[in-house]
Amino acid sequence: MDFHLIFQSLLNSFQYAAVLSLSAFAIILIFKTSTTTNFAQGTISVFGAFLTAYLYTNFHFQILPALFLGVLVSFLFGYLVDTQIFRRSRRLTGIGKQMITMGIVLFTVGLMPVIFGNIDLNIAPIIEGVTSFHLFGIDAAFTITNQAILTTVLAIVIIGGLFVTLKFTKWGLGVRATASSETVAGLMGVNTHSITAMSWSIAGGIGALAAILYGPALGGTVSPSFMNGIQVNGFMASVLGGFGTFYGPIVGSWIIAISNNLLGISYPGVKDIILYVLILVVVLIRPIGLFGKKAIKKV
Amino acid sequence: MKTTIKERFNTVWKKFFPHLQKTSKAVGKGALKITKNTYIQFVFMGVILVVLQIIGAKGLLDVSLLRNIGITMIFTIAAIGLYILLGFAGLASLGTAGFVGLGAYLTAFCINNGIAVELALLICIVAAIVLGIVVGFISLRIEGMYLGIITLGLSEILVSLFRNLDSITGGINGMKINDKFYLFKYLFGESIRLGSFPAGRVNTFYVLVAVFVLLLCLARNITNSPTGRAMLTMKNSESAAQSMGIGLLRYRLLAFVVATVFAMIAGFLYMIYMPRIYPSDWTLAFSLNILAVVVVGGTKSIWGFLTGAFMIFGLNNLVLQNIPLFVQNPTLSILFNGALMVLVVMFYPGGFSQLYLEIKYKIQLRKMKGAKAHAK
Repeated sequence: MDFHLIFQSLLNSFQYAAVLSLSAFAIILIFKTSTTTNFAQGTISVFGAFLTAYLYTNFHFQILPALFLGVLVSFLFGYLVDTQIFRRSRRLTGIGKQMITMGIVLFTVGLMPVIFGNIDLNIAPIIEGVTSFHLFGIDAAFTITNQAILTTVLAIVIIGGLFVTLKFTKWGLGVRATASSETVAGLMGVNTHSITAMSWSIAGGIGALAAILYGPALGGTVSPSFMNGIQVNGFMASVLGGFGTFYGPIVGSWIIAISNNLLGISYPGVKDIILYVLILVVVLIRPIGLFGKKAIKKV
Repeated sequence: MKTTIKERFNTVWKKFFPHLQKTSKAVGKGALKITKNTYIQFVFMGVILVVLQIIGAKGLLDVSLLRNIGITMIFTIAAIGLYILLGFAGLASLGTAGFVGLGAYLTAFCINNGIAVELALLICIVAAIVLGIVVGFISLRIEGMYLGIITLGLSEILVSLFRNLDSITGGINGMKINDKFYLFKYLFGESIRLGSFPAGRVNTFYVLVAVFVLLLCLARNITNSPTGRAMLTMKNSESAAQSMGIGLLRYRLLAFVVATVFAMIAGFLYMIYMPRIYPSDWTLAFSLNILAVVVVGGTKSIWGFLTGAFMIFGLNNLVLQNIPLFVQNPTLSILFNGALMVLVVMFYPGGFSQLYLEIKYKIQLRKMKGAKAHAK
């Protein structure tokens, strides 16, 4: 195979990987603190993206302030979901909690057209243009959009920052304690309420950031379902990497994004099928995921 | 001598109302027992649905109303499978959309290749059993939320197959049954036409009702049998179940086979009712809706479950679409559904079943109190 083609595919997968890893991180953060898979992750993100597109299209905001407002709204949305709904339903089963997130999906999908109207809303890239460069003495140039570079850098910085926070700050310690056992963490004086509220807010915020940054690559028009594909793959990444650790899903999403593009070279039509089957096989061999920790089961 | 209130109540009851006791016994053998029999209630519901269609065929009811009732029934059938899988065996599945879709595509493929409708159903059931066994084996290895996401992955695989096998499934343009098709062609010739509007749709509706009632009875049979109790034990504690001699392998496979068979029968019915499908019909949202029926409806009572099915699929199409506010803003009904789901799960974790059982209990209590007051 052509070396240029392979390396170009790698470059193409950076933006997708960055967005996917932001989504997967949001999913794992909520999974750890609230023990539920959050189906509303995509929709809460899209809510922020909708606001950004609304301000940008109808009120001619600059994209950057619109982005900040969008992220802020999703941040607050996540906060409200936790304080108003999840705080009151701690004793539910896992399925019940999943159903609540599902209800939030329907609620938000219904709400968005009511607030923002039915017309097409667009998101512009923050940086226009394409960077091209030569490498390894190959004549053909490698190209990557500036937006993709920005997205990748931002995602790495944000996720890196969050990992540092998790490891070295009091809040991070609180999150890790809540993740291992919410009741015991509460007994030890950790304010689990504020921990989960912050987790939901951060998840909402980074989700919205991912949606707004990836919006132009998805065609630029916002619709309530435009993060669905990312969300499903975010779950797949979490399963592949393992729900046990924070870094597992991030690695999983990079694996998925890169192999998705590499498979796309040879098997453009059926790359999803091959990818999902491969994930299925890996998970069958290692049910806890590639980087998962085995949970001890007590009778 | 001390007596409890209950004993005192019983003596008073027996002393003052001998005739009431007699009648209740006598009635219990006759008319009352018939209306209390769940199977007869199911058949009664089926009769009501058939009557609705007869009225509708005369042009007295809106065509889209009947269509929505039909679709609600089909989706409820898929939900019954999950009702057993999740409510009794405790296994979560998000793959329902893929399985229903597979049933629909398989049916279309069979009928387009000249296979009789009944045989197509049989092929669907056999395929469903095979698929159910495969998923059941996966469920032995992967548990809990992982299982939900893995079944979601399976569903995604199936949907991308539907989308990419252009030559068979028609790709994103969807698939339809090309020719006219008939029920029991070998017996009655071309007299009972199924499928498209309007001649076939009425007949298909009757088939739907018949299958619906039959499958409800079957589900009731499974849940009230030793199999259902074994599954319930497995749900509550695997270790306890195993130590009681309940094999996990057998019952997990069985639960998944039941769920996939119901899902693929639903797919079959969807295909012969619509009869056109698209790959975009079978998304995560569809699976979640089916799951929502089971959670909102609850599993303690089948009537509560059916109320849940009506709330998720029926309410929107049958009731809300007739209110002007909702007609102007079509998405408001989705919003309403979502809010309803959140509220029910938050404040009534047992779903409508719990509500139903509580009301039943209160009525009984009131009856007893009334009798007591009467005695004084």
